[in-house]
Order: sequence, then C-alpha cells, then structure tokens
Amino acid sequence: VSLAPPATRAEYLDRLRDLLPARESPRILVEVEGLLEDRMDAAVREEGLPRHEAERRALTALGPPETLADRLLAAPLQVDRTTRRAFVLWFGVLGAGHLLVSAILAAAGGEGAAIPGLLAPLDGSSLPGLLSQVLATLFMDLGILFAVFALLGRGRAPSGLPRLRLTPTWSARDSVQGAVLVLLTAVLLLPPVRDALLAVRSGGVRHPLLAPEVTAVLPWAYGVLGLVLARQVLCLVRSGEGTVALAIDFVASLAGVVFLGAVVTRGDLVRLPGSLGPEASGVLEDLITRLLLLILVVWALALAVRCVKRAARLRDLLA
Amino acid sequence: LVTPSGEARSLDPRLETELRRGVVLLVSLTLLDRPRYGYDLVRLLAKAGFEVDEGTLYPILRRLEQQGTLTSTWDTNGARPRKYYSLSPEGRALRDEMAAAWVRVRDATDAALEETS
Repeated sequence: VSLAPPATRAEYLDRLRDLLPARESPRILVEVEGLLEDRMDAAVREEGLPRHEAERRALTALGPPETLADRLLAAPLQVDRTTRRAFVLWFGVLGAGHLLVSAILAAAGGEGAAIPGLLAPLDGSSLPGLLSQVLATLFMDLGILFAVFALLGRGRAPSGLPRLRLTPTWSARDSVQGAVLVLLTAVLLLPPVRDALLAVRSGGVRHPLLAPEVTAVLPWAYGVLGLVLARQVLCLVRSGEGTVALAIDFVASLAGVVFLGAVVTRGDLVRLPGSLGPEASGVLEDLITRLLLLILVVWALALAVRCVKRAARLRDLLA
Repeated sequence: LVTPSGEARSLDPRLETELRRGVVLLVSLTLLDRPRYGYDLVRLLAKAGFEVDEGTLYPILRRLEQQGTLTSTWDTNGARPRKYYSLSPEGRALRDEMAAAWVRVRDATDAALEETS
C-alpha cells in the first residue's frame, strides 16, 4: 500500500524523518531542506514560478521520501522504519495507558476483572504476582497491535492508526465542537435531565437506571468537564495549543481515567425496579451493566492513552 | 541507429540515460574539483547533458562523503547555511583512475564500433 505523495515541504521532511535512523536524521534533514530551498529559489527567480509550484517541482525532483530514504540507507530494511517506529510508539502508549487504568482501578478499590481477560486492577499483594500481571498486560497489548498491523497492512498501519502524533493538528472548529460537546454532557448529567433520560417506567413511576453509588460520584465529572472546557477555551483564545493548554489536557485525561475508574469499581452500576420481577430485572441489570462496563473501560483506556501521549508531548516541550 | 529496413531512427531516451548513468559519477567527480553545493552540481550536470535529479544525486554525494572521496564544509555567510562538497586527495586519485578507465572503455568501444561499421 503506497502513501499519498507529500504536498508540502514540511510534510515531506516529516515523513523522511520517520524513515531515517534518529541519530542521522537531523543532519540529513538540514541538507535535504537546503537542496529543496535551492531549487525553489532558482525556480522562483529564473522561471518566475509561484512559490507553491516551485515547491511542488522541488519535491518531485527529490522523489518520494520512501525512495530517498532507501537510497540513503546502506541496507534496505525488511520492515521499514516508519512501521517499526509506529509500532514501538503505539506499544509504549497503549501499554502505559493500559497499566495506568489497571493501577487506577486498583487504587479505586476495584476487585475482580473489569473486563475478563482484558482489564483488571493491579494486584499489589505480592511482587511476583504484580510483575507477572504487568508482563501479561504488555504481552496482550503486543498481540493486539500485531493483529491491528496485520489487518491494516504494513504500509498502511502507520497512517491507519490515527492521532499517533504527539502534536495533533488543532483548529478553532475542533475547539468549538469540543466545548459544545462538554456543555451538552454537563447538561445531560444534571439530575433532572439524567433522571428523565436514564429511567424506566414501572408501576406508573419512573425509576432512575443508575445505581445510587454511581450517581454519588457523578458530580466529580463536572471537575473533569471543567478542565476540558478550560483547555478548549484556552486553545481558542491563543489560536493554538500552548504548554498550559497541554498541561490542562494531561490533567483532564488523568482525571477522566480516575473518574471512570471510580465509576466502574462501584458495587452496582445499574439498579432496576423490583416490580419487573426478580429474574427479569436480574438478567436486564446484568446485561446493561456489562454493556456499560465495556463502554466505560474502552473510554478509560482511550483517555489513558491520551494522557500518556500528552505527558510525552509535555516532556518534549519542557525539554 | 538504423532499423533492419534501413530507416534511421533516434535512440530510445531510456537507453541513452542508461549509457550516461555509467559516467555520471566520473563527471560529478570532475566537476567537484572545486567546491560546489548540491543544486549547483545538479545544474552543471544538466548543462553538460546529464539530467540527474536531487533524489538520485544527494544519496551519491552522501555516500562518497562517508567513503572519504569527498569532503564538505558549511558556508554560513549566505542567507542560509549551504553545504559545499569538494574532492578529497583520495577523491582526486579515484577521479584520475576513473578518467583513465574511461579512456580505455571509450577506445575499446570506438574500436568495436569501427570494426562493425
């Protein structure tokens, strides 16, 4: 599977960087950029071409970044560096996120697996047990990633795993959409709205679906939503994501994982009215609980991955 | 070239490119007798009839530099830093050897062509 040719010099250099060994790439990139600029300057000066057309021609003269990288490297690799780097990065981020959720589940007092075979609180009662659990978690993530890369194909996997980059593209529209979503969620969490939507009618009375243990921790969500909103507003005001917004995003993601961890470790997630009959309400409760658990755990995992990525980006920026 | 039916036809450009490719290295080494930057060399090669794009030339220059055939310096006096390549003593020796080899190849080719014409 071939990637689309890079449209801009920045994109070209970005892709070339991903294909080269880390220790050599800075020097090569400076030299390649010099070549591009020389050709662009000549095309603008001598042929009167517009800058973007000169850039396009200069990129064409260099050929695809993959071909250039192959020519620059003494021995072509069986697995190209883009794929290898994407795999290693995703493994690091997914593994760290997975362990973070497990640790938070343990800290929240969770007992038993949140999702059997996939996610359980870390058991710190013995060191060998803890180590084997960590290893098992990492092996599982490795297997999941192998499957994803195999399904997407080697060439497409790096681009098929979205938002791998630690610096996601930002737009005012994203921030506005994000802010609106946060406000909508806040409204949905208001007790009158929540009880009106998440309720079942039985015996002429509406019974809230969520168990009281869950509704007790729901106000924490406003803290998380407040952080997310603050980040969106800050990005809008500054027309981009600065260090402060990034730090807020990191804290918000972490707070989100903690909150979701607190929710999934409650004794009961759902409570149905007894008037439905003990058997029917038991089966329905179990079904809805499992569905909710799956959604919340996947959400927590996604937030944990985001948290790790934001931490890595923050470290880069501060360095 | 002459076709079997006796008509003259021009050489397939790809074949000519193939022929020229063999001597691009020698011509590049000759042009690098004095310091030149990458794009300057591309233009000089084009002027001499050797169309080589940067994507082909740059890896060659880099390899020659790693092998010690070329040396490089950065000129930081211009609007932006620019890397200049030039022949090292080993590069000069290689250029001379290649030039001698080229003369032998050319003579042998000429002789073969004369025999068949």
